[in-house]
Amino acid sequence: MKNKLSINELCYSTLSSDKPNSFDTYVSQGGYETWKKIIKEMPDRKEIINAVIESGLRGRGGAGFSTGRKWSFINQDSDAIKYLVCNADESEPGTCKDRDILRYNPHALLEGMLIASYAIGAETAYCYLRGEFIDDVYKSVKDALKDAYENKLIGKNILKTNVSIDIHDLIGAGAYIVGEETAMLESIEGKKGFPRYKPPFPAVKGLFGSPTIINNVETLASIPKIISKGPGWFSSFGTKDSAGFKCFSVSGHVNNPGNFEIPLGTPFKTLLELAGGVKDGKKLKAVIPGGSSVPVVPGDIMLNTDMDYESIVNAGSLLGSGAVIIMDEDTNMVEVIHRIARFYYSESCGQCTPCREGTGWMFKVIDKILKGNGTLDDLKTLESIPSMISGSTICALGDAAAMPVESFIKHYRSEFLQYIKNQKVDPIDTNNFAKISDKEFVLNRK
Amino acid sequence: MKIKINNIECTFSKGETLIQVADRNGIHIPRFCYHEKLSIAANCRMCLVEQVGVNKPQPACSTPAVENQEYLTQSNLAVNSQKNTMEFLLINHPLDCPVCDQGGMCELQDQALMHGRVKSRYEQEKRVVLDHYIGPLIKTNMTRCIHCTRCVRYGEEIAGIKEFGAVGRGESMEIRTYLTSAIDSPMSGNMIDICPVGALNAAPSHMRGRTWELEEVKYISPHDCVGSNMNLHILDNSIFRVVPHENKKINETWISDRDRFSYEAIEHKDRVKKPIAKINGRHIEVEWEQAFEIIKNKMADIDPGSTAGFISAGSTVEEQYLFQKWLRENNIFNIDHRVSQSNFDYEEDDIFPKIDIPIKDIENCKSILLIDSNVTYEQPILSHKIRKAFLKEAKINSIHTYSYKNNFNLNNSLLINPNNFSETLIDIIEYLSVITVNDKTLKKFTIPETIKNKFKGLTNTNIIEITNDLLLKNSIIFLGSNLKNHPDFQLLKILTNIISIYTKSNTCYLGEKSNEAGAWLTGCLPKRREGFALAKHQGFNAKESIQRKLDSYIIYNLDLIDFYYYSELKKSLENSKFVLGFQSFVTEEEKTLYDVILPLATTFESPGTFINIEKEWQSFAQGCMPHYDSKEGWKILTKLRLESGSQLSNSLDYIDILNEVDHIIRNTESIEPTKIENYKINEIKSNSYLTRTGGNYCYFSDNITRRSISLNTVNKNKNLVYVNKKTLVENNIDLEKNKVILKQGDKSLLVKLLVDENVSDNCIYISNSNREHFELGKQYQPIVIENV
Repeated sequence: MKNKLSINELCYSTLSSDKPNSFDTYVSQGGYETWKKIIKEMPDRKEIINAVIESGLRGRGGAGFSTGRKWSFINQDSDAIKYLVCNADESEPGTCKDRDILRYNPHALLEGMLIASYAIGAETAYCYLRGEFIDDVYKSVKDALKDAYENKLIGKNILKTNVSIDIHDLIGAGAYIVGEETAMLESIEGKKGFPRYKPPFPAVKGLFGSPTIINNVETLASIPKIISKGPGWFSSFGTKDSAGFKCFSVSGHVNNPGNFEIPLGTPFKTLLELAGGVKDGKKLKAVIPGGSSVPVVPGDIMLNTDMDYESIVNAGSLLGSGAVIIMDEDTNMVEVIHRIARFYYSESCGQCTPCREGTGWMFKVIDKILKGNGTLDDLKTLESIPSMISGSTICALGDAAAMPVESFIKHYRSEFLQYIKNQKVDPIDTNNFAKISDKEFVLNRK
Repeated sequence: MKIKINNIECTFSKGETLIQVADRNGIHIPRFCYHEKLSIAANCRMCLVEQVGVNKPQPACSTPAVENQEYLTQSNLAVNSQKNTMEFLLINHPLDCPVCDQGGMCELQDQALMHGRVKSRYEQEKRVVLDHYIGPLIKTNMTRCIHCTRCVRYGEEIAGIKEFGAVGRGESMEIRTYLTSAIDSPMSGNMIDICPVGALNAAPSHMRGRTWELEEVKYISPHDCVGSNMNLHILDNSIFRVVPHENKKINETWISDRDRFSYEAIEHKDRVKKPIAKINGRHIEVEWEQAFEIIKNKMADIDPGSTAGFISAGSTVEEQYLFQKWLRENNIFNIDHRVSQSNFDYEEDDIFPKIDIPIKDIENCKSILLIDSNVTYEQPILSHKIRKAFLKEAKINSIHTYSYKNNFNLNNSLLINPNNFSETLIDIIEYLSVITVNDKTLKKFTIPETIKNKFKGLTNTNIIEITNDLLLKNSIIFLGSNLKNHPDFQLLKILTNIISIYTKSNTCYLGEKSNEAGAWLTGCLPKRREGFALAKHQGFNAKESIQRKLDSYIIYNLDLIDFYYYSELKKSLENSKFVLGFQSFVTEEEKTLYDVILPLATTFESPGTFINIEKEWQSFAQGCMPHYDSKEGWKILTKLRLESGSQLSNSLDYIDILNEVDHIIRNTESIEPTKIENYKINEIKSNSYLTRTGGNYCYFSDNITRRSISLNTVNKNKNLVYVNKKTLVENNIDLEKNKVILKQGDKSLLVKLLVDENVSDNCIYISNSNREHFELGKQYQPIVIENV
């Protein structure tokens, strides 16, 4: 860990200026120089891909797969048309990091997309924004695209070379599932957003049947500086396996919620301090460290954890998209999981059986428990459903819906039992939660 | 390459998925969404199996087999995954199998027995889905749907008409038509079969019987000319439903709606229940003995030379053989089955409906030309083959008078007036004669002068493109069955032949009915006996027999509207001395024209044989015993032959008759038609009057289909008359009004009008779908359109 914490150095580097999203601001910070240099020197594509592999950049959308290696899956020798798709359908509850990149630093994304397109040999790239971005975010991207086209950095024969790359902006219609990369491809093709089964993977057969690379906004926006400052600069931040910076969206019971771009491996404590600490000086109860779809982690474990991929896995969760949801000691965990389960129930695409039927089932059982009508059998049923869903669906939404339910019951089983015991809705006083065992519970019921 | 499934070594070829390898080796993997004829969806998650070394279960339907990998279908992981999926499927599925039509043949029920829990853990409200009307053939019960999307993929991929889709998301996803409209595909019934649960049911048999009470009898399609294989399901000696019987060479696993639902006609009110005789001017029901007595007396009376016999091309080979045998034994030589044909020029060298290549090879053709063929609705199975060729990027072209709705896309099409068919084909020949000048194989062949005289210099680029496509290797020309009614039918056949010689393409003359080839081979012709032998006593053809107003007529299994010369026939019958009918159905009005009607069993109720256009013999057993007092045709005809004193050796049993027919005509070589250059082609006329066009509506094509109630309520627009705007303006029709009067000769008809640009100029398209259309007049004849 470096002595001084570097904040907002990569994707949020324009935040401090007056007009963060303007073309001039970006250029004044040395923007588009990397792209111009690439166009001028025409380096071998493999050089760029190797640099990205070397930097250790991992996909920032949630899965954390090596970006450079993903690019290397494209068969460079084939003549097939190739596509680049930027996944700007940021809809994981709690996540808003991409929104701020799109709003305040769209040119970094565009430059990253240009470099990525060059590296994989694509002449067409799509930037797919979530439907809810239709107001200011969409406008910001549109303006940036216009500026870049006007300055001849995108389009036909860029800067009078024979390199041609077009970037199209698309806006979705508000379905969570379209954030899944293959569902996004279906949506771009004009079809209903249903994830595709894999194999074949998009790098082999993706958009319109052609090899396609799909990357997250933050991933692509990180590329220009990685190329200009060199992979060594990037990997000098973070830990060995989790290199570089990561944007975290801290929300929930904190005094200063917001987006913070910090090196990976920063202790959770530091991030919590940046966000102003737990609201009203209360105690930390639990943290969802990577968006609503990852398992919840009790506060005391989290306070001893660093924010990098491996440490969070060791803490029993996933880094995911970097949406850190903080819950204080007064939080009713059954109500929280009720809300999360409802989200996945209404966002399941309905294509495969376990998720279509299971998400609804889980929500209905939690709802029953929350309304005070639950029984111990219901809890046992609820406990068994997540494992029935996870791992057996086409896409990861099934797992996303299962993991929170599984972890909430694992860590906060007593709260569920309290609901079942009281058989009616009561304001929860966490201090009075005795650790009730199932056995004891059965006896009490008699 | 090899893999191990459950420790059994299986070989596989590249690209095969696990479920294919397992199926081939008899290893059962449960499935709902997977269907071997459809694309992979991998959405039901029932086929999850374990791949050794991988901790997540893998769907067998979409996982490609990988060399040297081991898979387990019965391991804990696999069985648990299957159980889990089963439980999920059942939480929202109604558990009321006793009142579901699918019960007893339900894939979900079977799987539940193997993988399901004894008691449901789900206590919450179940999903209920509203049913939308999708037509008279399919009754939906969408609450039972398990969203496997087989029906959606079937529509997209097999039927080629996308009518179903998945609307909504998650638990509220619904399979339905996008707009609330009736399903229009002529193969829609197959969705009932591929639906693994009771969501899509056959409407006519809905809630009327249980699967385990049914008896299955293999049967051959009585309507199409390819001989689709199907199974009749019999309940209490009546047909409960019809399902496909797999035949890889013909219909694969599909049948058309016409084949599936036409059985409803058996119980139609027109059914002849007992022998009917005209006694003292009144038509009364009599006993069989009495009817035979009357026939015997009358037959002794009549002049055989002034008697004609017509038999349906939809009757079985045995009936046709016995029919012509009986008539010839009684010195009646005016025999014909070509009752819907208008023109009999050059008939001595005719060849029967045929296809030059096996039906299953159509899909490998590189170029297909359709000449006025509404193939998608008239021959859905052939259309399915053409669609397969289309999907393999064959070039499909069409020359037609109406832009028919097809389940494939046309490369080029030519919309022409029916009077211009011969002209258009001659244009093609003219172009061919120019571009094949250097082809040595064609040196010996010369085009008849009468055709050459019509050459007039080619300008239409469409014709050039269509012809160029035909020159591709492996091409085929389909001549539609409607053209039988065309005044130039025989000439069109010859012109098509010339084109096929030039382009080295195959040809296919589509038959209208199930056994047209059989009728040719069994000698139901005035000039040829069974086995194509030239007849010693030559008779009149259908047209001559009708126009000559003979003394007596014998009509076998035909409605009078089946005759092209319908109005003439009616007059002839009125003026004749004796009319004998062998009929399954007769309308009240037509009944009065007969002297005796014998109740004939339909082909469903009789054993028999059909010969398809590929010359494939297909025999079938008796589906059920004849209803009412009707009798099988072969029995009636054998009895009549005995009565008229024929010496029958041992042909008193059905099998003996089949053997006799088989022995005589099975190995018949089709006769070599006269070399085309030897034809003396008459002068070719061209007309320019406003013409009536359009063939028989697909569900009004024979005496069975036209009595199937469900089929005939599918299309609401079938009775309309279609005319394009230009023609309407030329004829001063008020476009504001939606009704017009049509006139042919002294007949007139008030009909609803639909302005349709798919109709060619200067013609009026009527799809003959009710008796009024036949009463009005003939096809391809002048017609007058007037304001109301």
